[in-house]
Amino acid sequence: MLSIRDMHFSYGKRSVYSDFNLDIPAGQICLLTGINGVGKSTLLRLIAGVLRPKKGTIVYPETMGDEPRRKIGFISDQLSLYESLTVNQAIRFHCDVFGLDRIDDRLIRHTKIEGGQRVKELSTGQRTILHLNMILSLDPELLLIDEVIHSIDAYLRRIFLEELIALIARKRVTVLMANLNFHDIEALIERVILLKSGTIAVDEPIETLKEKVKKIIAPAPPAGLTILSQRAFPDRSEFYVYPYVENTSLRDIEVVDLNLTEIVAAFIGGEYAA
Amino acid sequence: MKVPGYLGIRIDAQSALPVYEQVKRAIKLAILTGTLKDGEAVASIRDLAQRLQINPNTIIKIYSQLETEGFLASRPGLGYFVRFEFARRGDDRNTLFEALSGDFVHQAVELGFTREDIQKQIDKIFDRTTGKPRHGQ
Amino acid sequence: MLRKEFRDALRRLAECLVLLVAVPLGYFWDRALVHFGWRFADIWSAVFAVTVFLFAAYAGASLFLAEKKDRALEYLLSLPVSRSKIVLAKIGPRLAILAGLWGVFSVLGGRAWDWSLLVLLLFLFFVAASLSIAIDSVVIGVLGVFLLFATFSLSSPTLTFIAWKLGLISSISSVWIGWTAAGVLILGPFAAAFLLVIRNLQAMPLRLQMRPYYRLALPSFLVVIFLILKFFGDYLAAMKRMN
Repeated sequence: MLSIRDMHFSYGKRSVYSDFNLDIPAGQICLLTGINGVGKSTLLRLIAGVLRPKKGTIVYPETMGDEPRRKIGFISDQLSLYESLTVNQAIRFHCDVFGLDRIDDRLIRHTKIEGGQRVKELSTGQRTILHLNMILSLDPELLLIDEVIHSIDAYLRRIFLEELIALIARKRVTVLMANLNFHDIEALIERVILLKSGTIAVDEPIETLKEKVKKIIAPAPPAGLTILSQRAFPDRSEFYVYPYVENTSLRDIEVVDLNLTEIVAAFIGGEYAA
Repeated sequence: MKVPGYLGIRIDAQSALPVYEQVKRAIKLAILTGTLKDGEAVASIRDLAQRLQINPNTIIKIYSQLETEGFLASRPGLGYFVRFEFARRGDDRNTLFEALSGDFVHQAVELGFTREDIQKQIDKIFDRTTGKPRHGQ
Repeated sequence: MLRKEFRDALRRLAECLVLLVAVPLGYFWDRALVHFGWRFADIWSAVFAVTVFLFAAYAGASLFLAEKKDRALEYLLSLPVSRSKIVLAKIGPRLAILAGLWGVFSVLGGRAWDWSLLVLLLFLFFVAASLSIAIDSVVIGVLGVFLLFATFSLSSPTLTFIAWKLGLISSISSVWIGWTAAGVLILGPFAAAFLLVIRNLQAMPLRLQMRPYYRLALPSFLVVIFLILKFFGDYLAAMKRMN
């Protein structure tokens, strides 16, 4: 179990997290989402150990041993690496630090990256795949992926997802993905965590969320249901409700199922309207 | 070991039906119609998850549920195989038939078609379908 | 990791040794200067001395140069290496090369292990290292080192004078107390600030992590400047009276 307890963190004077708590059981595939700047990347960085909480603790599963960073695969949106190194040098450096002889570089070869190219010369897509390849070679127990999937082309995206799925099929790896877009990964997600102003606004299994968040098309706000956000149209209005409870006494309404993108938009829309 | 293709499965993220139920139904249908034959291997968990781009844990759930319901059998180290008792075929066929027709009629009515329209359409499709030999998908 | 750090340290040395390319030019210069009584060996020796001093400062100031230039700080901190090991891996190779340069310089100059020179070089190196996090531009970092060194040079006689005034020492010419006090007052806080920042180094803009410098290094530096401004004049007067 990955446990974050009473965590405080700020950038200089700007507080991002305060008394933050979160538990993630081993093997769970989580989506971390929220508006831009809410702190998704910051949370991933804190778990990865490149940022340190001002107060509070982060406890890693026992299977990750004394030095959790050895078993964490972190792909940040910065795709940070020693840019002046060539791909071969970067890989050798990585192996050196992690005590590996070599890595299985078929992903890199598959995407036609050449060993002699400097890291800074690679495209974003190539760099993302390079990171992914390096991380997979460590056989990680915890994967932290910051919105990189949608900055790469559709072909590389599919390769990325296939490798991720293969890893999940192979071992009980905990995955935490911070995304603004989740069209491609919707069917991978088990748990949705929506952040708002440094706190967790929504934390539900994805199936529950799909049952509980519905769009109701009606002339007037449906009675007895909590409305997250709404959109008015000339002939009718759309009300996004949570939690949805079936109420047969409500007449003249239409209940529509939503995909994850619409669900999250409904929550966030409420934030902007408030 | 022949590994089936997509089985025509397309995940509808917006459907009321959870993803696992959609895939499970598609596999059941393939078994009931004989597209997946008794003794045949189904796609490995990793393979199917990769093709459909869904969580392998979901596939595990589906396969083990199908095993409990008597459609699949797992052989350690070899994966899941179709193991279908022909005698039970009747009940399952009916259940699936209920579910499939329920969706179809419900949506047709929503679109505004009448009973006559629906019956005419069924006849048309039936003729078209049975006019040719059955293909697996 | 050590291998990469060695390679980086050698690269810094190479950048300094570019100066030695000027040596053949110096030779021809020598011909022209020969009637001034200057010898080639003197020029070469002077240039080498400058190179060594420059390397001491540059090697320290460029401790985190690769990370800053390559935007690799976040990557570095994500590796399973403790912050202290990172610093040691960086300082080790650079110190080794510095010691090597000192050895060569001592032997070639017939000075046979000039220990005070070594101490001076180490001082330059550690001052520069202490600034390496705080200052982004290596050029400004090196200039900062020499500024601090100048401050050190002025402050040690000042502090000797103050000690003499306070009756702590009998003669104004025993400079060791001034040197020690200056070293402690200048290098100490910067080194402490540096270590505090390193211990909690994070992948966020360095300017947000500078608090130990503002709290420790800056006040003591300002105190030293104040003392120099107030008492250096008195020291000069006292020296004049003595002679």
